[in-house]
Formats: sequence, structure tokens, C-alpha cells
Amino acid sequence: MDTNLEEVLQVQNLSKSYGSFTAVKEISFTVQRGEILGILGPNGSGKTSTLESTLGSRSRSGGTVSVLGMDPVAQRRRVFQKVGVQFQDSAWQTGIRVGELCKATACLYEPIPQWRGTLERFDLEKRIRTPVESLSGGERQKLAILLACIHQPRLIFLDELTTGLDPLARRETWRYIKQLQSAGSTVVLTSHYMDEVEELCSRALILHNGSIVAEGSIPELVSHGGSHRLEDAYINIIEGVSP
Amino acid sequence: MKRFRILFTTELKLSLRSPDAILFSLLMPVLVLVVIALIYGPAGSADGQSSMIEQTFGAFISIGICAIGLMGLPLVLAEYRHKKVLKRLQVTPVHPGLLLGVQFAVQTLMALLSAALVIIVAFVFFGLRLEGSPEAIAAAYLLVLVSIFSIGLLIASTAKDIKQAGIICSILYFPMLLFSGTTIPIHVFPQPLQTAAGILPLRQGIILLNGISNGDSFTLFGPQVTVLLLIAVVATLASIFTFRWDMDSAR
Repeated sequence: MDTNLEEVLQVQNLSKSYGSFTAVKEISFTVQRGEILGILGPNGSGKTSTLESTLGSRSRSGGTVSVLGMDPVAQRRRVFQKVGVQFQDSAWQTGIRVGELCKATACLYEPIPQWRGTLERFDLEKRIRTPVESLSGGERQKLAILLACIHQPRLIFLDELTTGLDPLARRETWRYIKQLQSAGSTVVLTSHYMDEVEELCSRALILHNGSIVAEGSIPELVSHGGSHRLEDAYINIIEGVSP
Repeated sequence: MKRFRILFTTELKLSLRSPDAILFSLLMPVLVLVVIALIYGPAGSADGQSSMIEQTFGAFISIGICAIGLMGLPLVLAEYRHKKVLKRLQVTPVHPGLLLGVQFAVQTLMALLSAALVIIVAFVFFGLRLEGSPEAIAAAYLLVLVSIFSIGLLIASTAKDIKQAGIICSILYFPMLLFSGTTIPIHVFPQPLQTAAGILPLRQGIILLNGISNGDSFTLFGPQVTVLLLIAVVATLASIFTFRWDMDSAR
């Protein structure tokens, strides 16, 4: 088991169908410790389905998943002690306040982590008594990232991490993610922003209609797409496989 | 234990912030008591017979159990699933039993508060005197509470979505509220309907509670105690085994 410890995530032949529609078609990928992997693709290409069926938030239609050497469904509680997740649509109890939500989330982990420092870092400490539904979209997004990382997870999944953030908050979020990476965390993120992917990711895979159509380091993807910029390369790759 | 305490405090605060919970869980049972007492007359009869309120005391303190167990508890959990709060909790190490247990405890406290209000108002304004021992009444009350709440947990676990949960809750709640002898005294119904009402678990609970609060012994209520215990055990276990974080989540 120790020999394979560098691979913190292994996904093999993962499929996800909704009725007769197949959203994810037998895809396989691995993530090495310390990497930041970007999952890119147009809307409806299967990014969220891939992420959520990897985690067990949605049932898998086929394939196997190993997270930190464990099955995220059968060993859910052990896995999520060390894994953090930010979903695209974060959800809270009606009426709950920022501080209450942080406290109630932190207490689920062992040992119970400190969270006030991170709240300050994200400029949310003045909001501690504010109901979460009264926060701005950007503040809510920052809170969602903070909650996903509250327990210093070894592996972090972020679904569209900076959607809705202003440029300053985006930069601050990037710095935070990089800091988590240098502290030893591994990150899997989905994004629509190519500048973000170039800035953060060591590697990316591009999904289209539920299949991986390109995969590699950022320079590899740029040259694969026959361009100098990731954004142009991405568009070339997607247009190349679209009917 | 610290974990339980933090989650309990948070959920209790959220409950007390909800106007629905205050109105239906805490205030409605007292209102029903006051209305019925005003209609039927509060005082005991001159010949020393116990009053209407004393004879049907079990019914009044059961209204809160019914409102909370068949509406509050299942709808809170169904809403957490619908709003994807449970989905977020699935990707933390929390045990589902802890979430169900915390919600059960919060709603139990709400029911106890509502029962306390009913007892205080009945005692102060309507001269309530009970023959049964407080311990025996408390034991019977808790048995009825656990039994009805476990039905609520099972609805929360099995309902497909919040709409379905709402329908199931209404189907169980309103007949139990109307035909168990809580809001409308059972004796005003024709005999066949009274007999049919016996199928409602809450009706059995009220028979037990009325008896115990009038000083009868538990031994007279073997069938009621058995049925209520059986429902409590089966429904609680079933709710744990059928619990889902999200309708499409892996278990």
C-alpha cells in the first residue's frame, strides 16, 4: 500500500449515466501528491458529474475510484477526514450565521480545527454574525472554499472555485490554494477560466461529451492545441472534436 | 459529546428562529387547550368527578408530539436534503446517526417545551389536577414521543423529495390530529369512526396517556405499550438503514 502512496487519486473507467443519457464515459485518470489538476470542458461536458461520482455524492454507473487508497463510499468517514470538497452550489441551513456554520462544520473533524484565522484571511471576520444568505455572492464563495479547507485536507476538490469572485478575491483565493499546495495538499479543480488554470494547475484534462479529449501539462496542452496561449489551444481542441 | 453539543446548540437556535416552529410546535397546543377548555368548561364537576381537561389531558400534551414528530422533524430533514445541506455533510466525516440524533434531540426539547406550556396553562388557569404519578406520566409521554418521532424519521429517510415528504406528512398528520382525540374530543365521533381511529398510533398513545394521567397502571395498557414500542424500534431502525444524503448519492 505504501508503494503507491504518491498517487492520491485513482479513477478507472468511471461512468455516470442519468437514465439513457451518459454524462461520463469510462474515463480514467490519476492525480499525484502535490499536484493541482484542472478539469476543463464546456458546460455539460461532464466535469461536475466526474467530480461528484468520484466522491460518491452521485452514484457511479461503473468503474472504480481510490481516494488516498480508500473507497470514498465504503470508507466515507475515513476518507473525508482527510479530503475537502467545495461543490458548485453550496448549501446551508436557512438562517444560519457565518460563525455558526464555521463552528458546526469544524466540529465534525477530529481534532476540531481552528478557523478564525482563515476567516480573517478571507476578510470575513466582520461577517461572523451575518446570516449566510445575506452575504454577497463572492463572500459566499470564499466561505465555501474556507469550509472545504477548514481541516487542512490532504486532497481538495473545488468545483468552479472562483466563479462569482472579483479580481482581488480571485488573486487571494489563488494565493490561498498555492499555500495549501506548498503545505502538502493536492488539489483537483474544475474551471472555465484559462488564466486561472495556467496560474494554478500543473496538469489539466479536457472533457468533451463525457470523454477526455486532451490531457497533459499546461505547456503540452498549449502545443497540442497548436497555439501559444492555453485559451486558444483549448478552443482549438474543443472545436476539433465537435461535430 | 462536544460535537453533539455544538450541533445541538446550532440546530436548536435555527429551530427557535423559525416562525413555523414557534407557531405550530409551541403555541398551537396551548391554543387548542384554551379553546377546548372554554367550550367544555374548565372546572371539575361539583360531585368531585374529574374535568374534561383532566380526562383528556393526554390528548392535549400529544398535540405537540404530533405537530413536531410528523411535521417539524421530517420536514426539517427533508428540507436539508432538498437544499443539499446533507450533500455537503456527506463529504465530511459526520455519521448520519449523529445528524438524526441531534435533530431528534432538538425536536424532543421543542416538544417538552410545548408540553410544559400546556401543563402550566392547564394548571394555572383551568385547575388541572392529575391522579397519575408524574414519573409514570413522563414515562408514557416519552414512549409516545419516541414512537411518533420515529415515524417522522422514517418519512424523512424515505421520501423522494420535499414535496413527497410534505404530502406524506399531511396524510399522517391531519388524520392523527383530528381523529386521535387531540383537537376534537373522540366521543363526538360515531362509534364506527372511533373504532377505526384505533388504527392510528397516536390514538393508542392517547389512550395510554389518558389512562396513566388518571392514575391507571401501565399493566392495563399492554397492547398500547407493545404497539408503541414496536413502532419505535422498527421505524427507527428502518430510518437508519434507508437514510440517503441525496437522492442520487451513493449510500
